[in-house]
Amino acid sequence: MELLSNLAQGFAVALTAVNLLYCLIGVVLGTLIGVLPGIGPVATIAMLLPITFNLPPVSALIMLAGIYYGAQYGGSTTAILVNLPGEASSVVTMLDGYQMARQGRAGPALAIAAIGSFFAGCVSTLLLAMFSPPLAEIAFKFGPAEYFSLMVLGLIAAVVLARGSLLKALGMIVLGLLLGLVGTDVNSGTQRYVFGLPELSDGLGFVVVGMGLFAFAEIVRNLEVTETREVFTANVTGLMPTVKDLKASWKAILRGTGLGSLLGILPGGGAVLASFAAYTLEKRVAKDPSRFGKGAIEGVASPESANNAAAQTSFIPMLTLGIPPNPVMALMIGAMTIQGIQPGPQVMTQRPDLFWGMIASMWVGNLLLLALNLPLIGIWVRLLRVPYRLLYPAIMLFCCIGVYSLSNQTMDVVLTAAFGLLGYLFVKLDCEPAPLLLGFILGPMMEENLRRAMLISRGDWSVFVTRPLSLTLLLVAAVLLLMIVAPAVRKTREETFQESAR
Amino acid sequence: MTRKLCALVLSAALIWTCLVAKGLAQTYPSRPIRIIVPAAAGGVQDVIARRLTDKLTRSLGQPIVVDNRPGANGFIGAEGAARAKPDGYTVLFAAVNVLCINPALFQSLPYDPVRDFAPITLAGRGSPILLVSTRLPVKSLSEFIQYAKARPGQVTYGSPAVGSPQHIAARLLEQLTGVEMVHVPYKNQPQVITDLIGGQIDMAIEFASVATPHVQAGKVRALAIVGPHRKPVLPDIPTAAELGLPGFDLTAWNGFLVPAGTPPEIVARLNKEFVAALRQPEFVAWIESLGSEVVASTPDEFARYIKLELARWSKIVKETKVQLD
Repeated sequence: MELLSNLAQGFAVALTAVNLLYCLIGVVLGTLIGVLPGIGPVATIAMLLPITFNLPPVSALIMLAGIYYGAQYGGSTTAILVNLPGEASSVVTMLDGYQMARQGRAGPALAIAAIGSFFAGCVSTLLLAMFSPPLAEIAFKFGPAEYFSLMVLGLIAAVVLARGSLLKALGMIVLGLLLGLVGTDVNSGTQRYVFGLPELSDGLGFVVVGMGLFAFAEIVRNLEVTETREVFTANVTGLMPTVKDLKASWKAILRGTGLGSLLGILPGGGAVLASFAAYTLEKRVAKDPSRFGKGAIEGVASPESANNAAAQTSFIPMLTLGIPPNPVMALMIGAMTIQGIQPGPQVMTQRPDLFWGMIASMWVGNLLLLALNLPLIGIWVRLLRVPYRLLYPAIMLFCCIGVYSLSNQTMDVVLTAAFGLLGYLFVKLDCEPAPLLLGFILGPMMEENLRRAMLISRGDWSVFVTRPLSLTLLLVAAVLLLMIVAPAVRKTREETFQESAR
Repeated sequence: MTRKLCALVLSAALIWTCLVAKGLAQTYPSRPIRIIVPAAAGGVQDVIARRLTDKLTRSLGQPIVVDNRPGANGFIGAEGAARAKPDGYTVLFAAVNVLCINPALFQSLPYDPVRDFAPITLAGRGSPILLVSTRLPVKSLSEFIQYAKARPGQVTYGSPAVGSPQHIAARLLEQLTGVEMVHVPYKNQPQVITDLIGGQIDMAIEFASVATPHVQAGKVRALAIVGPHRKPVLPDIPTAAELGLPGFDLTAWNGFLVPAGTPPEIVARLNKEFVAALRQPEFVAWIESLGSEVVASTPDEFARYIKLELARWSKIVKETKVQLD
């Protein structure tokens, strides 16, 4: 019953008027920056850090946390409505979300994203409350060998993400891997494909590549077609999902929540990887994978649940160990340090008000977000009536501000524009950029961890099969590979990939 | 009537002159000042700068903006500051790696640590801690050295980057004791600590701000302070010198600078306000809780210190043969 008394203490903290207010400010801000493409939680939290110094620590952290998971709610909005990812973690939501919007089902798509996120938020908050310390230990079980095997699995799964020709998908993955090579080699400090530009020496930014290939390219592509959106704003059929929709998506929400919760705990995992993995899994287990990419509601429900679950569980290593698994958590650690609270294992025991207050606030925040987002759907759908000539320059502007704010470099904006052109070329060549992005995320992590594992094992390759976790991951990858290439399942594969491109 | 008007104009002119004169003496600063931090937001260096802005904003009467310019070993931030107008509105918050290690590691730098900057004041100083995995059967520095000597090329250590102070410190240990270890480079400090706690690597040399909570929780074992003083946050950990290894000392530091050519009266004003901000008792206590110490100085002291440290680090880098490429 200790849990109940702890939670009671947490809610006593989270439900004070002042903390409720900061929670509300956090989630509203989060939703807002989630909706605005390019502007992410990292830049927002960094900007707000000096302000939080003058707040009580608990209120400050409650607000900053709200920004992060609030952004996961908001990120799906533009992804579904105008095929532009509001947040990096909502890139895969576009694949089916936008198709749903084209069919006049923007309302249900937005609603299922909000409902899925809420469910995932509740479950992962409960996980956080009940199992934080044992879950945090998972991070320690994952050494370089395990990460490498996990990346292998991810790379093979990336093929499933593809639509259209398998060859093109493979090409895109390899191109993603190659783009991941840009930057300073971790082991030797050698500069690769940097061309003497210091801005490139830390590699290409994920947001730069993602926003270029998806957001900028989409805007360019739309310049060549005359406005035809009336088609899908005219026949908007209801704003809420039907019983049939809910029946189709509840399992996807469950799977997304589970996968997201797990990937959130792992350093380097986080919301982006979780959403990709959840979508891939959903397509893999679907009875009729051909519906994906054509407006399957599971393709929205699952990744949106996953990214919110991951956003939430990534607090576990931060709160219980003081170890940040991603840049947002690094900022939260910074916010704690600035307040004079030493992040680490002792936070739970020495500052239970902070630990349990934050956990309780996450549940409150998720409830606020649901209450906030469901009524907003009507307004967002109406946004579709704004003419492109007004909407797109505005989006473009926010994209540029967001990309610049990543590390205050104009070079990043220029690079995003270049990737925009590349993305337009891909549209013309009928190549899907999603596998490229996954290759781009996985490639550098795979290389680093392979070399790290080999250094630690002193060149002994057997390390990948003698460590049980690593072996399991490799076996799953092998099974997946067999399923893709084996002639017996060839036909299903054809169904999976030979879908008509949009 | 005319007289009245005359008096009015005269008094107005008088007030105006007074205001202008007063204004001239106090024109600096008349707009926000930006502190360039050549590191990512949320890191210890960034947090230190942000915590100072509160006091500085009050004492300088203008907003102080922290401008994070991470990346490329601090090249981007340092170059940005070196090229900024020397008018006192751009301040660089640089650590030892930007000012003294990079010149030893790289053949060409986009900035000159001595010629391009006018020092304001040193800020803080801290020495790293030698940590080992709890899986290792060693309880002291000498046991660790024996353990590593018995297993040449088998003990692994992690560092957040090739050429980082943490990496150089481990190389120095190898050079001083003749042990041979394997370097496993990571991309940041949390990765190193995670793998050390998980027992994936055997040893790491890390700074107190990152290591202390895990030492206190017993997740990693601290064997020695790689510097001259014990730390109040970890009073039981001896220094390497106490353990008979006096040369094993790699204290890191940071400080504030402005572009070279900034008027001396502005440098003096900045020195006064920054030193006052650094010496606030609660700030000093906070820095100590992070396992470092505040060392405010005069601009001249800082300038001499940079020159001394440049020579020292170039010698260490040369001797330990830390190389990029």
